[in-house]
Amino acid sequence: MTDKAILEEKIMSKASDNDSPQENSLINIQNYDFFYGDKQVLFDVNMDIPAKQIVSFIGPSGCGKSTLLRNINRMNDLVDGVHHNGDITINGQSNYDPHLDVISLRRRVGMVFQKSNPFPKSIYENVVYGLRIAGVKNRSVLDEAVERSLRASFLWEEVKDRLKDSALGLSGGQMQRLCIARAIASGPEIILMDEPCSALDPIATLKIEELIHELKKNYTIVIVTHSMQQASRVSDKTAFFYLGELIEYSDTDQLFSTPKEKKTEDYISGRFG
Amino acid sequence: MDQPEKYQISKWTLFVDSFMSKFITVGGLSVIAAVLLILIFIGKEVIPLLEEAKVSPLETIDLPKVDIEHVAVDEWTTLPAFITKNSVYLVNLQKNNEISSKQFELENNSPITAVNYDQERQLVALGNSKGHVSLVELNYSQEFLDKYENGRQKSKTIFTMSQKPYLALAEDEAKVIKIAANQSESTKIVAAVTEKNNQQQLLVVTLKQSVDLFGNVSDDLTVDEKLNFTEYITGKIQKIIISSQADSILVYTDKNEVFSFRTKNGKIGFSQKFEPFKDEADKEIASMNYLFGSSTVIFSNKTGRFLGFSIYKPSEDMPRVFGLTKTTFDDLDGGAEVFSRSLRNKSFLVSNGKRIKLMYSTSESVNWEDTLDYDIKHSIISGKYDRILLVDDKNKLNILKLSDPHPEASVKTYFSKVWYEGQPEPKYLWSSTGGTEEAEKQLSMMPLIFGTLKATFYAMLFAVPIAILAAIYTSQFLPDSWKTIIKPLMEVMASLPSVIIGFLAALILAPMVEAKVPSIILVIVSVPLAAFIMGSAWSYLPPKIRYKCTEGMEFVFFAPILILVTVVAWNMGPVLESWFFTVVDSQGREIISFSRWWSESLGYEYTQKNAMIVGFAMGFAVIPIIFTIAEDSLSNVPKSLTSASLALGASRWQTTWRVVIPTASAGIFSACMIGLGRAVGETMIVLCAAGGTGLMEMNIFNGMRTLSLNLATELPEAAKQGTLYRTLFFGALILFVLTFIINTVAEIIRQHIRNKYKTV
Repeated sequence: MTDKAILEEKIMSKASDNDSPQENSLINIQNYDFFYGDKQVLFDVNMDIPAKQIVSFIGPSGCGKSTLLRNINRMNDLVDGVHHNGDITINGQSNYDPHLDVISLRRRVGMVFQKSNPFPKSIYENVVYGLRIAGVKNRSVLDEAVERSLRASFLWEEVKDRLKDSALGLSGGQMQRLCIARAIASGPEIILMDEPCSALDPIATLKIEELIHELKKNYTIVIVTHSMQQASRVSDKTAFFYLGELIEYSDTDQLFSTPKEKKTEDYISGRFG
Repeated sequence: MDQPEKYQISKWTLFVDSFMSKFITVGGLSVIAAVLLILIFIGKEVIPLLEEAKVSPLETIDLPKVDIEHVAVDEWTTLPAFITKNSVYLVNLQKNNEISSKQFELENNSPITAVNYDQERQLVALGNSKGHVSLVELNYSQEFLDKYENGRQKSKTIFTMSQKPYLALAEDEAKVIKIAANQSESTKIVAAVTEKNNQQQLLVVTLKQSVDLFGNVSDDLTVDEKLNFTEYITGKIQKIIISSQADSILVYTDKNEVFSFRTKNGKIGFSQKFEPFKDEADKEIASMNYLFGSSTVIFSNKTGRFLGFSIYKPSEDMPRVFGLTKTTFDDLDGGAEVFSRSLRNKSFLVSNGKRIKLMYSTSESVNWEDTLDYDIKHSIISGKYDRILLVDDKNKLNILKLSDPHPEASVKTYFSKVWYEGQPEPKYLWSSTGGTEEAEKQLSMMPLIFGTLKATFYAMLFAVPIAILAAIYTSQFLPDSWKTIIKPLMEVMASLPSVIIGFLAALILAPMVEAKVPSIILVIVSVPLAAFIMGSAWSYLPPKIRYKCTEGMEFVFFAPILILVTVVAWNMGPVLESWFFTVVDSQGREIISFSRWWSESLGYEYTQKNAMIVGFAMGFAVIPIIFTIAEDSLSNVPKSLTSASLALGASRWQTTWRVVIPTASAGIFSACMIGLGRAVGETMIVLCAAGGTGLMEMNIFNGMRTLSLNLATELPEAAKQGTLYRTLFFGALILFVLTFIINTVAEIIRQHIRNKYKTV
C-alpha cells in the first residue's frame, strides 16, 4: 500500500516538509451552489483559502457556513439527496474528480466537530484510529504518533500516564483536544473545525484557541464559529455568510474594523444574528 | 401556601400525579408477585416428588397357629388370605376379623408337599407326594351393598377359589418338593422339582386352554408339552420362579448357579446359565425373585448384597438374555429372607429378621427402611400399593399403611444414566408411558434439557448470523428510503404465528430438505462466498465506476448475481450428490442419496424431522426479533461517532466494524439473548418439526425432544397429582430456571459490555 508507506514516512519525518512556505491558495471554491434536495443552501460561493492560515466562517445560524465547511471534505455526501454546482479544489485537485476516492480526500482533510466525539475506546486507540484504519501496524510508529499528536494538542502531560484508560473519562475540554489530536495524528494538510468551542467553558475555550494558534504552523485551518470574538482572536482571514451567500471575505482585522458591506457591519455590531 | 394563584398547582394535577405513581407501583409489584407466585406454585407441585415413603402401623390381628406358606390379599385389603399346605385361611377385615378357611382338595389322600402362590396372577400351585400337581385360582370380587357410608356405596369382598384337577407330572410318583406356576392369557406353565431316592428331577408342563371365537377361555386344560430339564441342571435346586407372562423359568441351585429356560417360537427351552455373585466375595444366593413385569430378577446373598439382572439383547443380532444391570442397591444383612414386590411399579420389599427395607429398582434407592419389634416371616404389598401386610413369627398379622406416591422420582432417575429394563446399557431416556403397564417408567430430564439446548443451538446457528448481518446492513449501508420499508416488514415477520411456521416446516420444508440436502449445503457455502468475492471485486473497481452507484444501492447490482448463484448452486446439488453421496445397496446397485449416505456411510441417523428443520423454522421465528433489536441498537449509535470515523478517512465497513459494532455490542448481545430466550421456550415449532424422540446426540439430521414439547404433548396424559404430572411440573421448573439463568447471565454480560462501550 503506497498510501500507507507515504503516511508512515510523513509521520516519521515529523511533518518536516510542511514547513516550506506556501503563500498561494490551497483550497479554491468556485461558483459553488449546494442543495439539500430542492432547498438551495449555498449560492455561488467563491473563495480562496491560503495554506498555513486560519480562516473563520462567521454568520447567523442557517447561513450555510457549516455546510460549506462540510463540503470541503465531502461529509455532506452522507446526507440523502444532496447535489451541487461549481467546484471545490484542493491544491488544484477537484473534490469531485471522478478518479478521486473520497476516503483519500478525508485523510487529507481532517475534521473536528462541534460536540467532542471520542470513540468509546482508550485514549491511545482514539489517537491512532486514523492510522489503524490506514493499515499502520508498526507499534513504534503508532506510539510516536500518539505522543506527537497529544503534545501538539497540549494534552500529553495530562494523559501520558493513562493512555490505556477510556477516553470517556476525560473532561469536556480534554475530549475536544483529544479529538484534535486524533485529527492531526494521521497527518492531514487541512483541519476543518465546526464550532469546536461551542460546548466548552471559557478556560477550555482559551486552551483550544491557543492550540489552534500553534497548529497554524503546520496546518491550514478552517474554523466555523458563532463567536465573533473568537474569530477575531484566532483567524487570519474571516468570511461572513448570510442566507447562503458569501457577503464578505477579507483579512480578519479589516473585516472587523472596516467592513465593506452593510450587512457585515450590522452583524458584527450586533444588530442582528 | 399563600402563593399567587398562577403559581398554584391544580388539585387535579396533583391527584393524577399521585394516583398514577401509586398505580404504576402497584402494577409493577404485582407483576413481580405474579412471577413469584408461578414459581411458588410450580415448586409446590414439584416438592412432593422428593418426599420419602411414609409407613405407619394400622392394626395387628392374631392368626390361627398354622404353618403359613404364602400370603395373599385383595386389591382393597379387605380379605387377606393365608395359604398353608392344606388350606386357605381368610381374615375378614370388614367383619370383625372373622376367620374362615377353605381346604384344598387332595388326591387319594396324598398329602400336599409343595405349595406356591403368584400374587400377580392369583394362582396357587400344589404338588403332592405322588408327583401330581394341581392349580388353584383365587378370585376376589366386589359386591356392592345397599348401604352408604360417607356418600360412598359400601361393598363386600367375595372370595372364591377354583381348583383344577390333579395332573400327573412325575411318572414315577416322585414327591414334589418345589413347585412354581404361572399363566398368561392362554398358557399355563407348571414347573416342579421332584425327588425320589435322593434323585432330583426338574419337570415342566405347559397347559393350553382353548379360546373360542368370542374370546371365551374354556375351563378345560389340555397338556401341551411335558418336558424334563433335569439334564441341564447341576446341583440341588433351591428355588423355581416363573415369569408372569409364563414364558420364562428360572431356577438356582446350591452350586449358586442360575439356569434360565425361555420360550422361543412357542417352545420353551434352555437359554442361559449364570452365576449372579460371581464377582462377589460371598457367592451364595440367598434369594431370587422377579419384579413386577418379570423383566428384572433381584438376587441377594447372605452378606446382604442385592443385584438386579434384566433381560435384554446385548447386541442387535443376539437373543435376549439376563445380564447384570443393577449393582448399587443398599445392603440388608443376611439377604432377603422375605421378599415381596409391588404390582404397580418396580418397588420391592425385603426383610430379614426385624429389619425391613422398601427399595425401588429403577433408581436403586431405599424409599423406606425400619427395624420393627417383631421378626417378619411373610410380607405382601397390596395391589393398590397402599398397604403392607406382615406376618410375624408369632403368627400375628400386622397391617401397615404405605404412602409412597412417587417411588420413581429421585435425583438419579432425573439426572443420571439409568440401566432401564430391556436396554443394553445405561442411558438417559424419556418414556413416561411404556407399551404395557409393566413397562419401566423412563423419566430422565437429561434428553429433554439436551434437546432444548440442541434445538436452541441450531436455531441460533441459523438465526444469529443472518439477523445480525441483516441488521448491520440495514442500519449502516442501506439508504434510509429502503430502511423504512425493510424494518416494518421484518416486524410483521415477527408476528407470524409459530404454528404456521412449524406447520410449513413439517409438511413442506422437511420433505423438500430430505431430497435436497446437497443443494442446501451448496447454497449455504456458495452464497456467502459469492457475496465475499463480489465485495472484494467491487472495492478494486476504480472510483469513477464505483461512485456512479449511490452509496448503499450496490445491492441493486449484487442481488441478481446472488439470486443467480443461488439458483445455480441449488441445481448443482444433485451433481454434488452423485459425486460424493452414493451408497451401494445390498444388490450392488449404486444409490445416489444423501440421507442414505449419511446413515449408511457415516453411521448417523437421518430423520426427516430433524434439527436442521427446527433450526430453519425456529431461526425464522427468531430472526425478526434479533434483527429488530439489533438494528435499533446499531441505528442508535450516535451519528457523531460515525461522522468522526468517516472524517478520519475510514470506509463504511471500517466505521461499522471498529466503531458502530463495538458501541452497539451490548444491544446486539441482548438481541441475541432475547432471541435465545424465545428459542428455549418455543413450543409449537418443535412440536411440529422436531420429531419428539428424546435422543442425546448433536447430529444435525436427527430429531430431539425439548422440555416445552414434552410439556405440551404429555400434559393431557398426566393424571393430576401423579408422578408424571409432578415430573412435568419439574420439567417446567427446569425450563423456568434455565431461562432465568440465561437471562441473568445475559443481563450481567450486557451491563458489562455497556459499561465498556458507553458513549458520552
